[in-house]
Amino acid sequence: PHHHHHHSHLWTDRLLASRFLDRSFISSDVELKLIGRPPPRHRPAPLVRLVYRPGSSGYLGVWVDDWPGKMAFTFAAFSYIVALIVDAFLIFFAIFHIIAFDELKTDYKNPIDQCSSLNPLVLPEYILHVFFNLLFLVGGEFFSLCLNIPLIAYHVHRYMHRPVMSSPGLYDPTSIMNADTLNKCQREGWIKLAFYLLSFFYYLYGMIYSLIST
Amino acid sequence: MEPLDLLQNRHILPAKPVTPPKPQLTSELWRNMNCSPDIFRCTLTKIPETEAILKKSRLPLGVLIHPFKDLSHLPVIQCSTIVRCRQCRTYINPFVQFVDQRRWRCNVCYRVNELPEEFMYDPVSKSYGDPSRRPECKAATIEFIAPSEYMLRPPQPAVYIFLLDVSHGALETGYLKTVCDVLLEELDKLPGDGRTQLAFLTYDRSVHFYSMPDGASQPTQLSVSDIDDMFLPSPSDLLVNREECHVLIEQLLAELPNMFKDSYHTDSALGAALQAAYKLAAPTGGRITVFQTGLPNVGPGALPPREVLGDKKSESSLMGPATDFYKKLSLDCSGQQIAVDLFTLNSQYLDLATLSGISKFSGGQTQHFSGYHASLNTPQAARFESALRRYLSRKIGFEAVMRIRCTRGLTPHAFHGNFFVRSTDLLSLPNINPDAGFAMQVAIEDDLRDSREVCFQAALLYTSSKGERRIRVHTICLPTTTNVSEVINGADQEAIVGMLAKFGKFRLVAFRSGQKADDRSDCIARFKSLPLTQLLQFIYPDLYRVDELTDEGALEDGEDEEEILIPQPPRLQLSFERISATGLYLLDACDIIMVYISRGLHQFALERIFGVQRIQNVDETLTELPELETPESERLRHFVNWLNSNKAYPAPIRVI
Repeated sequence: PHHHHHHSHLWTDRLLASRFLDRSFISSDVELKLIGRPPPRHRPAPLVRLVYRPGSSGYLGVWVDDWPGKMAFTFAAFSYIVALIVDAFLIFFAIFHIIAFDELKTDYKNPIDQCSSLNPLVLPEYILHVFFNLLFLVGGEFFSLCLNIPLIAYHVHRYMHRPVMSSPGLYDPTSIMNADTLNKCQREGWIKLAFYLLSFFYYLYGMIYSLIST
Repeated sequence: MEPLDLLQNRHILPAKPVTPPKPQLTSELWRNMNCSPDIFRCTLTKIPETEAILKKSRLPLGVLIHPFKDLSHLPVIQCSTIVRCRQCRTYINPFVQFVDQRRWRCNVCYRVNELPEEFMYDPVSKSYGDPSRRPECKAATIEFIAPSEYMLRPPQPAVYIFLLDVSHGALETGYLKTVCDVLLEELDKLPGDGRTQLAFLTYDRSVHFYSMPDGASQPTQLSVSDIDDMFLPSPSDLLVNREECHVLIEQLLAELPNMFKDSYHTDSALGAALQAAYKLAAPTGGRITVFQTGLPNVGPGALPPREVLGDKKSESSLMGPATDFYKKLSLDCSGQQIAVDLFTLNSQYLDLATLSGISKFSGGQTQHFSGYHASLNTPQAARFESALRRYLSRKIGFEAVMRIRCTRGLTPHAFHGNFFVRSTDLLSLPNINPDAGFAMQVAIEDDLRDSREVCFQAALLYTSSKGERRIRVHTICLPTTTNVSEVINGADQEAIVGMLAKFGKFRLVAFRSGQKADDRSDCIARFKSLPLTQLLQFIYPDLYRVDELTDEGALEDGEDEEEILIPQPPRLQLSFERISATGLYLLDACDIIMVYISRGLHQFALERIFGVQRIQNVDETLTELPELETPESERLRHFVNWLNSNKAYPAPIRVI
């Protein structure tokens, strides 16, 4: 069988391909042809190209040009790398939340200032979290995705039941100084921190696994 | 305690008013010195030692405070140093322990502190001696004159700004004439000194300012129609000194009702007017009084008409605000020490749930007069006038903060009332008035095993209307116990009811469907901010049978020249079986007194009390009882006057 890549903008480097492609996918008589014209010298080549193979379950792989070690990895590994980086930010956000509520509890800061520093972080946290989960979805990492779906549902629920406010955010300075609310939010911060930390190690494992198994 | 079968034995209401239970402290001296229950009241007079015991008793633990209540006797102290604990900053109070002659143990954090030299001096007998004879250690309610360390800025003058709605709907109700007349009369009774400043703003679809420069012959009106970008049209003379511009202010108040006679603007730009008033008051702080009669529908803060009568689904969501414009403005005002009081005089929906946000967090007060009309709705008109007179002449404190401290082991959990919570125990109150009540829920964090008593101290730091910085301190002391039944026996039922009302657990009038949304919001707002006695009367009004008043058991009031006997009829349970068809009944519902005439009331009583022969001839628009020479009429009037004397302002009568 002759497998062709039909995208005209793609071109392959035979040497690169033969080194890193999973041999089980490609039989020895596949010819990897130069399709289309190589880009002119003066225009820099795209660093990363995604290759889609019709009939397979997902993206075939990622080619990276100009990489010193000529590293390339599956899309799954890529999504884990992104998840790791983003998770580091999420861990930082969770720690920031915990410290902020502790400052409120010990009267170190006043609620108006504290809410104005907490509220801008809420939506970015949710969006970043959804972003790498989308990558999981696209890359076929359904188990990791399922681990995160409860958290996404919780985020959506929390945001829909926020107090009436015109700017984005969850925290209202008039109702936040209540021992119940403060404790609840701090507990939420600790639980999320634990979750993000555990998922950091899981993504690390996932990344190594997907890199090794190519 | 024996179990009581409520179906068999239905007469559980005591006939006489319930006196609040007194905390039984071991020391007789402390028992008598304890803070008055009118001011400081706890739901339990015996505090359980651990959280587990509290949970078993299933009673809420909290305190109800009425810190600025009008007091007939208040000791005021001026001294060079105010003695406070070094660690927790509690003020010295009658319930501290003196370790020896020179040191005292704080009853909140148990630290031992030193007494300054001056404390040994007893100003009454002018001798050195026992520190416990000092007035700070003898009175649980005391006021200090605060030195300059307690001032963030020089004490502010009294600043009063009045915002008057002059849209067509507002003028229809006729409130403007009432307000201007009352203001003219009470102008000099507004608390303040020579620095007092006043400003007036009127608004319909644009905002009108009144410039009263020194030496002018009459006030000038300046109108700003750019409501989306409000600015002050004149840098000075909008906020004028009361004494210097007295004549001009009087002229303005006399002219205002006539100025807008022919106006047909139906829009109301409340948000823009509030922003303008905020700009005007921001440099000094003060009080903004708003009179609103309809839904604000133009400019910033315009509200959509949310209430659709008959739509059951939206009813609970109508209790929350539609937009946070008023809440945000309220927070800004709080930051500049401005309080906003709202009087709503409306017959149609005006979204009180959203509008009341402007007073909730700025330490203001919302008063609602549903269906107000100056000539058609006489009870509401009378009530409004009464309330307005009280509002203008009562005491006021500016730029106030209140801190409530509890003995170690107890922590404040939540606060209820109109203020902004700046930190876990500090409440920011731009204005404090004598009719404001607050509540605080308390949680037991650590076991109170080592202490036999716990104390709560409320300290209110405020600027008086004469520009003096003062601290009013109230301290209450309560014993602890490990016994659950003692906790339950010592429960203060009225305080518990008040506390539950403030939590919002009472769904009485508030959630009866079919009621107007504004009335429900008003109920909820009142629950949160009324002091206890008024709250209880509001929830469970007192019912009396008054057609056969006797002098038996009457109170004697010898203050006036003639001795007046005030009859004390027993209170009746609020159930229709108590209403006989031949009686005359009086229902005291805190801000209105209803007189119910049964069909079969004897003609004798009708003649003697109302002066008419037949029921149909009784004038239903009466707001006061007719003054007839008969002894029955006199007795009834004395009784009503006595009821009114316990209120902040006299309540009108409504005859049914």
